[in-house]
Amino acid sequence: MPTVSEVAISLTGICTSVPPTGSGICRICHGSPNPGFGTCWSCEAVSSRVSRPCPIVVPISLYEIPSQLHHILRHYKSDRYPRLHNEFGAQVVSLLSYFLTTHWDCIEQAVGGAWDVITTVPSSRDRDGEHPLVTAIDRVSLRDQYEPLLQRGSVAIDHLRASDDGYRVKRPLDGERILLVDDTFTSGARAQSAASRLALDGGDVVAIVPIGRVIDPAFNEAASEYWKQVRRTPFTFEACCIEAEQDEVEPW
Amino acid sequence: MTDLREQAALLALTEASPRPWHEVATLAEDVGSATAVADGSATVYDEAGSQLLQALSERTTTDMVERWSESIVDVLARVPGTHLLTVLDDEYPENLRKVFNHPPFLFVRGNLVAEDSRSVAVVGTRRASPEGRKRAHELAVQLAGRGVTVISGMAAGIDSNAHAGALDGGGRTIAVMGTGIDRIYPRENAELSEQIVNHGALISQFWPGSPPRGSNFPLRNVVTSGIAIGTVVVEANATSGAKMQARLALEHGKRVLLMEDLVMQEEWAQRYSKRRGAQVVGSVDDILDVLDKERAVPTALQLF
Repeated sequence: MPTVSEVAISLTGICTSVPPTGSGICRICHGSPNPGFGTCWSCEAVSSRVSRPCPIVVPISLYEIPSQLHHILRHYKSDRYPRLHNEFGAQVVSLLSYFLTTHWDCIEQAVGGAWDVITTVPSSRDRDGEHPLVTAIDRVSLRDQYEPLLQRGSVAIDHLRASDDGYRVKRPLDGERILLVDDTFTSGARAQSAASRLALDGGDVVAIVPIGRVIDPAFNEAASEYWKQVRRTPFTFEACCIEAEQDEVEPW
Repeated sequence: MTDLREQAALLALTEASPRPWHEVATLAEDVGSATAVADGSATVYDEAGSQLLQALSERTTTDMVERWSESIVDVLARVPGTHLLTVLDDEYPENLRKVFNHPPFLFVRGNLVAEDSRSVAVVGTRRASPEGRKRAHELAVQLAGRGVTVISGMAAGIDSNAHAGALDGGGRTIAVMGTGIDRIYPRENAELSEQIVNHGALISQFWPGSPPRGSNFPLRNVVTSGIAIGTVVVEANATSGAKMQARLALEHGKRVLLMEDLVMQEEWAQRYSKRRGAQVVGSVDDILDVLDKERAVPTALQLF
């Protein structure tokens, strides 16, 4: 039986390193801002639509579409091919679990201490049963801290269309420190809508950890140059994007 | 196996697609039906999928589907022992389905069996040295003897020797063609291809009748990498298609196994050997170790 670390490490070759914030790097999601801007266009757009976005996003890997990581993150949710679903599910949760356990301390340090709860962004689609990421989390040690705090709200969230009403909390919150995890981060609309709702209802969202942050190198010249640069640094689980920048994170 | 109507609809969608073929494969898999894409009755939830669905349903006519029905019947009758596998079939090779850019259909001459999932691609240069040919042959004999299906591209040089070695070792071998299923290339491999059909399969992702176009070979390499668990590069210089396959295999998250002699001789192989997913191997045992580890499907996980 393979271990979580073995499965995660076997995926190193399909992951792309996430740069620490700095010049030419979005200070929130670590993506590619337009020249002269501190945040990328999508973080700018999404932040203007919700009241309490979370300023700390710690993607595990970047990816483009199409790519093998995109294929895995897309199809681990599909139940049409059970063997694929199982294998990709194990890969997704291994990436998340191994990354979190490896970088637990540096994330804690960056967010000013431990968190009480790990939760996920609810699925935007109707499906039978629970979200596959939840099923996957249940297979590893993260389950001890995991609690599904959110359900879908009255407003449908779509690309860039974030809203405080996209999700509802399932129980009253009383200052719990929450780590929000999600599989993909494209514009951040879903994750930031979820973060904002949790914060408005009394939670303290310390960070968002998406497994993959989508990059479109064809978006503009800056994105193309950004992609070229990040691909020069081989991905390793020994590094994360917040280790080098812990004094630089500013509140939004 | 899907019926002729679904197969014909899938080939018509592929012909009509403004996007790369593998996107048609993914869309058909998401929907679970090619006819539902062609007639516009399907729904998908992602934006890119919706756009492609709309384009395909606008461009695919019933005449095209009808024409493909006739063409499929014609080619299957013309090339004995051939069948058509699509992404909608459960028999579509599982290793291949796992890679992001898998093709929507494969013409298969011969048979694919479940055991072929335990397979390695053995690849290298067409202009192989006598030692390289010998190494490829010996390696394939031993792999075949250990029950591993040998995948290669039926090109001259290393590929042909890998196929021949698998056959001499009494095992199975699959040739991934860069042409249509009805065109053997290079012609010198006509006899070898007949033997492969009897002990494995020829497979082609291209239209019947397709000539060996330069643009086919990178797509062929995607399938050669995708259908195997890992790729062994025996002998190849920096401009060889085998080096490209090594790159594709790493992009697929597959293992790339570089023979010791190759790493000693080629600067590119030395560089590749340091990349995550690549490994230098000296023996069949080294290859089998990697293969069987990769093959273990992690349906259950152990904590650290």
